[in-house]
Amino acid sequence: MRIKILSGLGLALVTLVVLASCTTTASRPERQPISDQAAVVNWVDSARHFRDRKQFDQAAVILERALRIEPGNARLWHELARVHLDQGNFDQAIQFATKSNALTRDNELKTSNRRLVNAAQSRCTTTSLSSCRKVIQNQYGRP
Amino acid sequence: MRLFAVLAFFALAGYTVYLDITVRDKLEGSRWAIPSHIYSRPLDIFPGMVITRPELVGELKQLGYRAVAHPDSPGTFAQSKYRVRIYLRGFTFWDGSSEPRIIDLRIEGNVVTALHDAHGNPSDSARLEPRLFGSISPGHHEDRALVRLEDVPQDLVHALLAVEDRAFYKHFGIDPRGLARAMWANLSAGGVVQGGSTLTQQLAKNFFLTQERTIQRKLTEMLMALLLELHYEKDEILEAYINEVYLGQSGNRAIHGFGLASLFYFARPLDELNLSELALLTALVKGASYYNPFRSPERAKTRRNLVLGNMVELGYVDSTAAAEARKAPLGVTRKGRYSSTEHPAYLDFVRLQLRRDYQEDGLRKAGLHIITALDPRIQGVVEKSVGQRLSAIEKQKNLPEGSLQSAVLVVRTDNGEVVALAGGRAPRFAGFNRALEAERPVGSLIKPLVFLAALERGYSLASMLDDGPLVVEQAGAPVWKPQNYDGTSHGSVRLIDALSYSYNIATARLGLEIGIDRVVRLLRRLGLNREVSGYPSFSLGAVNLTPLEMTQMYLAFASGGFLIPLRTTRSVLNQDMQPLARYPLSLEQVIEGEQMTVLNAGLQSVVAKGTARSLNTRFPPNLKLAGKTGTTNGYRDSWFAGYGGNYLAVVWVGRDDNKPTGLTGASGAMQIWGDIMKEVHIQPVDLPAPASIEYVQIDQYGQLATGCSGAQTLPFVPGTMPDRYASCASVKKRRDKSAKKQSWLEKLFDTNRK
Repeated sequence: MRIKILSGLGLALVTLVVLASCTTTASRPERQPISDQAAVVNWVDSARHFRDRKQFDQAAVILERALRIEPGNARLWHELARVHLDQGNFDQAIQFATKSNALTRDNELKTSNRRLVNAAQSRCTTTSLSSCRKVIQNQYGRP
Repeated sequence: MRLFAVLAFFALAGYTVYLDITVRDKLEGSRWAIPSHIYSRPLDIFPGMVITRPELVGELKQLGYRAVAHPDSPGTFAQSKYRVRIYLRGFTFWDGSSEPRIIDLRIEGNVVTALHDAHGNPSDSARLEPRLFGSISPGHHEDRALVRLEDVPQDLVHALLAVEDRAFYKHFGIDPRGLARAMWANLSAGGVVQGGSTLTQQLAKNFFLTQERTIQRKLTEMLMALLLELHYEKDEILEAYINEVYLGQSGNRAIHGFGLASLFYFARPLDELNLSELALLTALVKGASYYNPFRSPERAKTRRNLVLGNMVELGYVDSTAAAEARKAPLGVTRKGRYSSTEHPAYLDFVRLQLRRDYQEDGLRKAGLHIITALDPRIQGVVEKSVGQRLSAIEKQKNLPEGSLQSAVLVVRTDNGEVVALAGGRAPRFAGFNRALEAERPVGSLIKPLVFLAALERGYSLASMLDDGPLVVEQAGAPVWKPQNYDGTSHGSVRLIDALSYSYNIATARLGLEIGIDRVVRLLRRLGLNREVSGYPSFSLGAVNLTPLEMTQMYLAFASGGFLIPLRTTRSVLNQDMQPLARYPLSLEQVIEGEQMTVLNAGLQSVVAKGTARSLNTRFPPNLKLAGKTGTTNGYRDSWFAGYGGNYLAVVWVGRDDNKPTGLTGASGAMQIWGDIMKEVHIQPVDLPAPASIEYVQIDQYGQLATGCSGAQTLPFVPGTMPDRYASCASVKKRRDKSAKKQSWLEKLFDTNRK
């Protein structure tokens, strides 16, 4: 009897553990942080903050600093592209997105880069920055 | 007589008004033409950073940080086997200020494994301030770094008052008692032995007058001193004096003011100097040349001790402190001290780039603070490597001592920042800058351009090229018969081999096939901003280009196909350390990723098995270094351009008189390149290939050779794979399998990539 109770308790415990682990699995973690480097993560946060406040030069300075530490981080290049897009520097926005693409096979990031390029491209047509079209045609084909 | 007196009065009055205007104009306007000061890059410190403890300590020493048992003030540090504790100085950067604070690093091997603050809390990052290494000064070569009186140590003020002007805060510009004392001394000695000038008079003299000793000049000086005191507070006069006084000489540049003198003699800011050091600086006021502590240390020490004695006499310091200061060594240092003659070649490039945005006059006088990308450690490595290696080669080759010259550029592959530059073998010599100005034939260094142009026309690394004898008839020019280095033709060769072994005939023929104009246009696309002529021999480097231009071209390869303008300057702050301008990163893709991947494999092959293969004895193969040697006719120029993942370096070696050196690219320039790259923590080349790239095994005849022994796996742009099979290859199935296998590996690789 005692054995039965013990095994029943054991089963309940195992079930609880399994359920708990299932719950953990079910609540999907956020997308991976942009870097393993705490400094880089913090700098990107600051850069976004500056970008939101339209302090684009400050944002770009911080991202360039982060890129000196992690030049192969495609997501950092994407962040820089976003700053240049918001700043109206469409040509460079496209170039940085292109650089980001060259460094990644992450489809989600590639899609973000593609969207960014499209956004720059559509705004390029109204501001007649000739270099935009050239790059878009070279890298992404016609929209 | 009366008329004369009236005239004299009016003349004196007029002269006084003139002097008054002069004095006020000088002190109220911009008092000095302040040179622009040039700084190295700041150093970001973070967990995971690659640096050894000796390298970090070297950086600290260059910045004038003092090793102590317990860092208790800014500018000090302590170290043990794995730890370095630093009391950082504050600094105003373009993106904000940092306050002085303590950091604690743990360094294991060459990696920072932990970073904490003073209380042991983990810290993300810290920044070591940039180092002042040069200035762009006005024509009269006066250099100074301004200080405010409130930042000047009290001991310095006391020392100055004690020896130069005890009654400063009491007199009205002239000290009659002091003057009388001096006159008596002069009369007794039968000549001028004592000045008797107040600080105000000295300031007037330094500001407006010459050093000649005449009665007229003395009277003018006194009049001016009176006017200065009439218009300005004592503290304003003292602050002007502290920034004006002449305190030394660096080359042809005069060191003015205590702010710069502190950096010049002690490599530390003024507010970090101790009593003994401040007394020494004060001692120099009497005669910076006569009491020069480097040349005449005993004389300087005697004068310093006299200053200390006067301070005790007047009660400014107690006798115990003074006695301790007397016992102290002079403390001056040549290492890391500010010197205007440091890295003049790099400074040339800074100046050249800034001239686009600033008038030369503005640079010389506006007191700008220019933060550059110079890495002092790598610059030091470059200067040392060039000097040592050239001397060794001269001995080895029996060349006259000092006959060889060199130029080097080291740049970051990700952002085009120039971290080090040598314009010749004498690093302190501000003369002909070979890195920027020496237009030399580039030889085989140009060849990758020909191969890239071919890759863009559908060629592949496995394309077979004809290396058989070639005769080119040229209208109005002699017949051209290019020869290989070894004097033989190699028949039919793969493109990758022609590149790896630098076959001249195959390259020349390829250049003609695809069109020299196309190759020249490509060079322009990769960043050359001037016209060059496209003769058939262009493919073999019969074109004069500078090391700078070659660096720009190779940066496009090292960066994965992006044109990134080479940059020296990161940002400019005004005299008050407010942000003025920034030089942002910019880039443009100029080579498609597919072609770049293929070319990169070719340039890696040059190092793996080609003309640069001797590098394998110095670097592990997993670095996958890429590069190209270059040798010109008669061994006149020796070139090497090569890169790892983080740095590209281009090196030229030759003679200014253009005589033969007997050196190939590999035996000359590449040796220096290796010396440098050994010291910069070079990382592996890691340029991800586009997903479309196919990897296939190829034999030495450029045929598909899946499964064949000795076959080499090469990357191919889709549609450029050979369609011939080696007899040992198990035809199509295996080829497909091979391609599939590679792409699976690639996928695996990519899942780990951010």
